Amino acid sequence: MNAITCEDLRKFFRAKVKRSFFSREDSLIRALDGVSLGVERGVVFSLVGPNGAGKTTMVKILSTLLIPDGGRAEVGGYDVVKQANHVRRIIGLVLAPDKGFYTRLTGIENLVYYGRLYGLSKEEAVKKAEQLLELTGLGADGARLYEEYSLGMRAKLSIAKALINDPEIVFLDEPTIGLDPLSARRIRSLIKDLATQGMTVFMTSHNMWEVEALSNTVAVIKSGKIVAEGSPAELKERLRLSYRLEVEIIADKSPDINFPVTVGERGYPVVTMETDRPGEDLVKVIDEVRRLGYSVGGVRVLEPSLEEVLTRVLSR
Amino acid sequence: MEAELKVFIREAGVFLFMAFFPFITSLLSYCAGMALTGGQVTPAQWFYQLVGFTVMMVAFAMSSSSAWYFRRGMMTGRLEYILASPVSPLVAVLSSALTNVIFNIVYFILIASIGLVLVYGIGHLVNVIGVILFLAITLMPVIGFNLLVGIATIIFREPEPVTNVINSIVSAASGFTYPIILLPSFLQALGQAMPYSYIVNGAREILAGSFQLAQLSPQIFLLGYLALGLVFFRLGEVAYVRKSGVHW
Ligand SMILES: Nc1ncnc2c1ncn2[C@@H]1O[C@H](COP(=O)(O)OP(=O)(O)OP(=O)(O)O)[C@@H](O)[C@H]1O
Ligand SMILES: [Mg+2]
Repeated sequence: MNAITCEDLRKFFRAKVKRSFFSREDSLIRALDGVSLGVERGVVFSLVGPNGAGKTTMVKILSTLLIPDGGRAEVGGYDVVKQANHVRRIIGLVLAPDKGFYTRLTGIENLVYYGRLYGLSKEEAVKKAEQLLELTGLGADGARLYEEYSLGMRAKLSIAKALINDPEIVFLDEPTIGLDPLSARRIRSLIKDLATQGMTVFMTSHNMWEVEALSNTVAVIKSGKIVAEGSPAELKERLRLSYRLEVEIIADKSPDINFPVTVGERGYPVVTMETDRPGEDLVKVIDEVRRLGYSVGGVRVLEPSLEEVLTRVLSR
Repeated sequence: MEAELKVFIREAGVFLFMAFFPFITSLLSYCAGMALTGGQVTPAQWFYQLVGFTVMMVAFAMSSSSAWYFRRGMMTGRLEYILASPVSPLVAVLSSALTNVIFNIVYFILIASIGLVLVYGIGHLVNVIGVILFLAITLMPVIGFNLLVGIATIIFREPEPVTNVINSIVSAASGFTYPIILLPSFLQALGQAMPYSYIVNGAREILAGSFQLAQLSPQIFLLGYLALGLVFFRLGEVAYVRKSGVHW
């Protein structure tokens, strides 16, 4: 059974557009316009897409914060509208990594507060909070006031908060935004670990590299519609994205060769081409260079990135 | 609820200011009274003012606590996390309101005890116990008001317009610093329909030792405010869900 299923999910907002002081127009924004998808248990699922595409709206509907205007969604087998309270017990949520806490309380006090909301006893909550502080790498900073926290510390506390009730499914809306590389890596490995332990992770991110490294499945959303879905490898394959091949030639001027040539960073000519079969073409280019009596300075084969997938999909 | 209490305790500075305020204002009005009447004002009258000002502070704090709870919740993103948890927002806001009641009773007792000892001597201090019980009961209708303002804040997003209106009506009509029989009759009626004048007079009488339990019984109707508050809170929730599509 899927951890998350939704069918034809729709959500509209009425936006008030001011024309002048007295007149304003109501326009309808289709934040979600018929989204259907399924997320298997124990996977990391990423929703990506441009600003305003509907990612946060999606997270809010699935985490029972917004009521959809059409369609239906199930989380953990429960309907997000009719069985909201069941859903709430089994999910963890991060909406904005730098918000959601009492500024005058310490990190651990905040976690205990949320633990209590999920029905933990005081002792259980304290124990769980201490574990989570270790897990997220906050450790001793848990005893400091939230208002003194840096952005990264806040983000870590948000994730700890999302895990306080041992959820089956966690929703993370841009969890690593603003984190330094080391902290981001820590959070990423944490997310990976959660998934290997059987937790389902539904996240959004603008960091394509991160999405590619983490996700089993990626869905691209544009203006409220899913425009592509699959594993990162599948997406690249489906779009026939080509590899980029670069072979540097040690020569003073561009040799008379049957491949496209540009000038490289070191000032030498570089054969640069897009190809679906990088291995074969690489051998061809090197053979040709040798035949002409030049030596090869360096070789680069660039894999297509998820960022390119996104660029392609969105520009269609 | 513990979290709320801790937050209160960390705001000790504000607390000190709040504690001084009734002393200062009541002293001012005492001195002004002295000057105007040529020294005919008794310490008992100062005490009357002190209790009045303190209850007024309590009333203001109490009428807007839910409103601020929601407002801060919206600003800090806490509210969404509460909504996404299994706890209903009504339970959350009620526990915050009850924390407020406890805090306000402690606040009142502190100030009243000082005044009591100064005016009537140590002996009257036992009356404080009665006041604790009295306030615990009579502040319940105020929670009803509190919920009304709270849900209004959710719907209209800003607490100030509502709390300002309520606070000014309450302070004019509830006899915090003068008996309400001095008021025009419509304000008098308004004052008698609201719980505050009973709280302030009851507190004064208990502390001075002249309160009879029988006086409490006609005031039972005030508990209707609590019921009313709860009902309107629920209605407001439904209206809000309809209007905004937020899963409350
Ligand atoms: N409360 C609201 N009222 C009106 N419009 C809204 C509301 N919330 C979201 N929208 C609109 O819905 C659309 C989708 O917004 P959403 O926040 O889901 O985008 P997003 O994909 O999360 O974008 P970002 O990458 O910037 O976070 C936007 O056009 C936004 O303006
Ligand atoms: Mg967003």
